[in-house]
Amino acid sequence: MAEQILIASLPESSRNRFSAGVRWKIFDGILAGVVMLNAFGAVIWTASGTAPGWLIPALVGATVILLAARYTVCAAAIRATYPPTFEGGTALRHRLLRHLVRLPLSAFYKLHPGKVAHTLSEDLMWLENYTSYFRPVVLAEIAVLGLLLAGTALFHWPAALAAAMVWGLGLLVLRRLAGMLAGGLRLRSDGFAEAARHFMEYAEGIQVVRAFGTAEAARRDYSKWVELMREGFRKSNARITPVIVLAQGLAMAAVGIGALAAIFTLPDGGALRALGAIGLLTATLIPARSIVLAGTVKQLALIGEQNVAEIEALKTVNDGTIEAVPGPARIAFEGVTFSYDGERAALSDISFETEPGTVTAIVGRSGSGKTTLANLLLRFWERDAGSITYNGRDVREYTIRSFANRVAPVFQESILLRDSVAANIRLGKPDATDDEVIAAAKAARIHETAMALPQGYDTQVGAGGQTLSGGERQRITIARAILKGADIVFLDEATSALDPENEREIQLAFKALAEEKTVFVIAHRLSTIVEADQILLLDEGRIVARGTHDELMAASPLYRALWENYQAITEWKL
Amino acid sequence: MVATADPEIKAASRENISEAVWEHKDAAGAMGGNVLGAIWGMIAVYRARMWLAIFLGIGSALLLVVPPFAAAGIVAALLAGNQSAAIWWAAAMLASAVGSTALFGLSTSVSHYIAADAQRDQREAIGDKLARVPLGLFSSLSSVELRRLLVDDVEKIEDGIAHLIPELTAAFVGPIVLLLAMMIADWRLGIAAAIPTVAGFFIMSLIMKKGVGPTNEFNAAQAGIAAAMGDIVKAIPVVKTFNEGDAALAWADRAVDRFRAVVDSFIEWSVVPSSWFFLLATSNVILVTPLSLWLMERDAVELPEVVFFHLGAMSLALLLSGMFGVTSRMRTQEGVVARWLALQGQSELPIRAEGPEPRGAGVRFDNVTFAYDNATVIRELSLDVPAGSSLALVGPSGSGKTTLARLLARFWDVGEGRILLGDVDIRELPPEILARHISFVFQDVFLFSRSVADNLRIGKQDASDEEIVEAAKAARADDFINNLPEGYDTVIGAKHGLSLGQKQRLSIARAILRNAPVLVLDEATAFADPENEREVQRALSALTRDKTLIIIAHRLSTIQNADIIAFIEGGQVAELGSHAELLAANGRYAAQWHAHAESRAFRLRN
Repeated sequence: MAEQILIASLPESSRNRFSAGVRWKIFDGILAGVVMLNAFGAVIWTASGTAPGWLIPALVGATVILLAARYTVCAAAIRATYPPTFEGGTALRHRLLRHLVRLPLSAFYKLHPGKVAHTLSEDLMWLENYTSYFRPVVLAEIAVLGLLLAGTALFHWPAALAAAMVWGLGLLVLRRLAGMLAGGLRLRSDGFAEAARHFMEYAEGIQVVRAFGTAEAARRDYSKWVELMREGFRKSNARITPVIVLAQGLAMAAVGIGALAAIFTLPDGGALRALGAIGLLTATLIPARSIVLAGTVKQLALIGEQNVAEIEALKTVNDGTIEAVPGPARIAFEGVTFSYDGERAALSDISFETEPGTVTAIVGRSGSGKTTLANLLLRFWERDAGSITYNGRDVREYTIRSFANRVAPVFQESILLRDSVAANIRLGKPDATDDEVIAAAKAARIHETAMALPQGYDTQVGAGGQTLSGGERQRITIARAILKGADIVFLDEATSALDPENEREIQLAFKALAEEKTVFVIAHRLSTIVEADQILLLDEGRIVARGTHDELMAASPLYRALWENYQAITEWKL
Repeated sequence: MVATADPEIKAASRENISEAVWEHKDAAGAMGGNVLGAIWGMIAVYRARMWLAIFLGIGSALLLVVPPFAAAGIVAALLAGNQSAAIWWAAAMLASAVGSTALFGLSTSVSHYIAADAQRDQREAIGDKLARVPLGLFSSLSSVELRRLLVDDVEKIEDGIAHLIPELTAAFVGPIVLLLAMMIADWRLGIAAAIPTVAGFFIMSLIMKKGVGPTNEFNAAQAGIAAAMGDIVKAIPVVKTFNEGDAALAWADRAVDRFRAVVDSFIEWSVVPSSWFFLLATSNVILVTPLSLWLMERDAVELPEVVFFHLGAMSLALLLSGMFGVTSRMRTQEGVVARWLALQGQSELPIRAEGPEPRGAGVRFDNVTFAYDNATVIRELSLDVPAGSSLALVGPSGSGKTTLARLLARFWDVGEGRILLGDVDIRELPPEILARHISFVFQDVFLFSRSVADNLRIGKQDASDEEIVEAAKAARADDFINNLPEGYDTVIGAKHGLSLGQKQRLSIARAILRNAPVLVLDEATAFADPENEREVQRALSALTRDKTLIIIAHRLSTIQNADIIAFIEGGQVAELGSHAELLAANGRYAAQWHAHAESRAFRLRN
């Protein structure tokens, strides 16, 4: 039923069109069967010596008409099955992408990005191939097979009966063996995932072990998994091969046994009819073989279907109903508690409030919950208890889209898409004019860099495109955030290394972005912390102190220690 | 992978990789367009077995020729009233079925065994290659690209080795033998049987030519989808937040829609006309039937022959059913093989098995020039770092600082000039000796999903447990390690993730274990959060004592006490001197220093 995944969700007209196409294809199979029946009928008739003179011209005429009819039918079938299939494939890709975007971030710990991309491209292509081509062909071949068998029965029923019994028996056996086939395939895919992880680890870790001259251990581990993989492949093949071979052999054996049955039950004076039966029965080998061949594609399609189902089974975040509108933004946390694993609390009883247009700095040691707090604020994860409100209403009441439109986050990692500089900036506001894009780029201090690129704003960046430095990439993402015109700005202040002049540019870009916004900043810089309207000091998932720099210096020993640390770091010399 | 190589290097290597490995231009040329030949070359060791698989496959295909003969034999025997002969013929048909199936089973088993071995060899070869190519080569490959080389491509080669080679050979040989037999039996009917198949192939080649535009566009659009999906999946965490969500999705949708747009013309130009191919291929009897009837009426042929020709003609269709999807499978193989050849064609670092010991711990860059493809990254650069002294490399991103550090680690070899360690050219040093004398702490830390202790032992393979603990203590890592569920035996992974600062301290502990006289720190102090960073700094202070030190740090205050500061710009030393000297010179370094001071005083508001 792998085809249903592409077809079921299409509008009724497309579905009907597709089913009609499949019926056309089956009709083509019937016509093909008729050609063969005609041929054998004519041969036997002629051999019996009673054929009329018009038989040959009639046969030629019928052949020409049938051929033309088959072309028309085939073309109609293709025109009816291919477009809905690709329509379905396109719709499924749209749907999966939207599903992926609506998954909580936790889901991405389970999904390997390479595998997801593979499902969206390759798996779906196999599904499309199977749905548009292989499945209709198999159905048509089944029609041919049925017709040939019916013809055989008409000529001499014992031959048909014997063959049918062999097939029936064979199908029973194959059904029992199907478990073996599935087991073999599963064996392979299970071992595969684990081995693939080890292969990747070797490739990614090789720089380290080579630099230390201790690559042997990693190499040995790699070899161990290569060998395990080979073993697994052999074992799974030992299960898969017999099933496929048996299926092919069975079709042929049925013909031989049918022929024997015909010979043993030869009616008196009916030799010719038996001959026709044997001829038609032998002809069943051809459709039988192509049905078996298409079986592997069906397996690939089924695997694709399974992978799609795995992605779709992941639960998405529930959406709200209210539209968040532009305007001053006030955020309040009240008794928020959250745990990643359901055991250890990552945040406990977090309460604070921010006035519109103020800067809130989030500080604390690594593991104190800063990133988790940001994750909840950005609605990457859902809190377990307490409330988070935006302008007085629970954030969950807002539609994810409209709320996300109010927030402009800037992360340490800048991700660019394979597209032009302008298009990457325009992601912040798809309908922005060129002037707006340039104004944002100027504010983000990336305009001059963009103008200096080979094709200016039209230069391709991202994977495979023009290479930009980390600072330049970040400024493009800031331009994107500026263009978005959100009311809440979230900054993860960079701790990574940029040369001082680049860093200065980024700071100025930040400043342009943060203007008049409600700002949250995971702060690493003394100066940013000092000027914050309020500082949230986190420790072990709790807010242990809240206030301005001066207040915290006076009240919190932990803050004082942290502060001294900051100072020591910046003053540190080797 | 280390994603922070100098942008210049990244640009150059990306170009190199995308041309050589990803678009496999050269490799496709080297393959001469004959992908099966190239696969044949890859399994050179297994040729004898592969011939066995091929012969078994051909045997199986030849036995498939028996049923038409046998059917004709039955007809002849029955017409002659000889039932026992008919039974023998039917038995032959049954035997050929069993035999053909058995031979196919053997053939495919043998070829799958070869595939399993060849895949192992291929992976081993990749493993060796990764251990020998300049490290810079694959520092520019994304993990998706690496996965493709290491995992997916090797999986796909199975189709080429286990199926395409033996099955295609058999798919051709069977029908050709059958056709020969038919031509010998009666050339007129033989030609009549062959014409539809030949015409089918002829039409197919016409369509392929005519379809160049739409077919190419279709294939390009399919490839575009694959690339776009790779990008968007990687970008999803960002896309989620940014409700560019919509815009980014629209962007991905465009790739899908581009595909959708070419589908219609692809269907009209390629798929619909190709049904002629399909039709003719399955209509082998359309000429045979009338002709044989005509000949039969004139007593030129007998019924057994007629039956033989009908079944024989139908069997020719097997050739075509064996060809289903072969073109697209071949295209997949082409990509796989081309990437494989390109990877294998990458030059390896020349490695000395034996060599002299360095005399001392001084490092000297002697007139070094290094280019990646056409981009010169380092130009005639000379620097001297006496044993026990410290050199700081500063300068804008992409100026070549990291490249210098990596040249010392032999990520690549220099183009011109030389790098001396203790007065010996590092290219003359066996890798173990070089590694014993230099240790590195980079900004990115890679940890294997093995125990903490195993990860530390990368620094010194035969380190005792005491040494490990001691190094961890010196690196200020002992405390957090002891807090892990199983201490030093805790397996690092998704379950027990570490913060960046903690990872950095493990990498410093590695370097402490190694205790090499020369130490290279590339932004080792970045990324940590305050508390961790303090710890990292203390750990570094312990590590750098009495060492020859080469340090790259953007936070200029860190390196102001270095014995020498080299300001690198455009791959050359622009300024050289102590912090005080360079400030006094009031040049590029001084400008950066002032920017640094300014950024320290940065305020979001006002």
